[in-house]
Amino acid sequence: MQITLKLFATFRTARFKIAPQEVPAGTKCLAIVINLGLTEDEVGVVLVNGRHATLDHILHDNDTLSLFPLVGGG
Amino acid sequence: MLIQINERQAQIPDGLTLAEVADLHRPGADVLILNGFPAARETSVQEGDELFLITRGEQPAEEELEALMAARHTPGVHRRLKAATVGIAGVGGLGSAVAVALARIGIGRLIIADFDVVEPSNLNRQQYFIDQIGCFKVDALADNLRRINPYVRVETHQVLLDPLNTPTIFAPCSIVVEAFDRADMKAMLVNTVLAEMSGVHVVAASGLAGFGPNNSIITRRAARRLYVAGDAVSEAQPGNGLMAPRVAIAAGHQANQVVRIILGEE
Repeated sequence: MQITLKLFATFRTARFKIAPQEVPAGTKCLAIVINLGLTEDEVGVVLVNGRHATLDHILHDNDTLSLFPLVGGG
Repeated sequence: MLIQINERQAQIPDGLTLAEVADLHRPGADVLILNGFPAARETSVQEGDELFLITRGEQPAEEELEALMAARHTPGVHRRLKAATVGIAGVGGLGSAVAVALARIGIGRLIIADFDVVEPSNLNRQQYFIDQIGCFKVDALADNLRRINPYVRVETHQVLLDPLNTPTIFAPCSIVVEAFDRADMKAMLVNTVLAEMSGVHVVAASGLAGFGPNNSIITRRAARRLYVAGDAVSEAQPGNGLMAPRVAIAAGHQANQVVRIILGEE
């Protein structure tokens, strides 16, 4: 199945802003994160089709997965 | 004739001096401001003059302070600000500055939560005073907010927030401000509010360390109930420390975003 992957802020460095991804049915968000070379801890917010999701969320065909980092400091 | 006294209209007889008006309307007033400038007691008052009659050191009553703010904000706007309850998760550089801004405009109720104490290194950016070093931040901030506007209801929680206690502590809030320092705590707060607190907005911050450009700090609407202020990349680290000016820019974004949500601008 195909999903659209959107990356934000530092996640775009040496990667991309938005790209289609071919993934097996039943893929979880976490698998995409790991595939990007990121760790679970680096991910701030996960959105699927603009709605909040967890990394355990199972993706479906034509979903848009957005990954945001949150950097420290406050 | 018609004049304004402390931003309210008042009808006074012609030919009175400032001192005579003060004796009639605010006996004991010792600071007399006429049209924006301190004036002598014997100055005669003219039609349309705007007077501020102040008794030094005396705290205005709630009704008077509210009237002054309603005049600044317009009554409809101020009523909505007064009716709001806002949560602030973490009261360090961001959270203390957001709290000060919201208290100054008379937000009705603030719920503040933080486990930490004021340390000397905090004073380069956080809204505390040197004599508050060692105090719990929530207690010190509540004291400071009371000195700004004692009529704002401030509820304090000296606690380490986690996914279990966050929804309970901030249950009365329509908006929660994420103002933590650590990235993992930011993610915890944002994800907890979005997952567990239906209908509640979260206003977070990410990327505000150092002295990078002012205008790279922006506010993004990342999801329907999530706003993120900051440049998204300037992480606090050795050589790129947190400093009052840029932290205040991000905190100002967060506080104004809160106001915009309250007023239905988003």
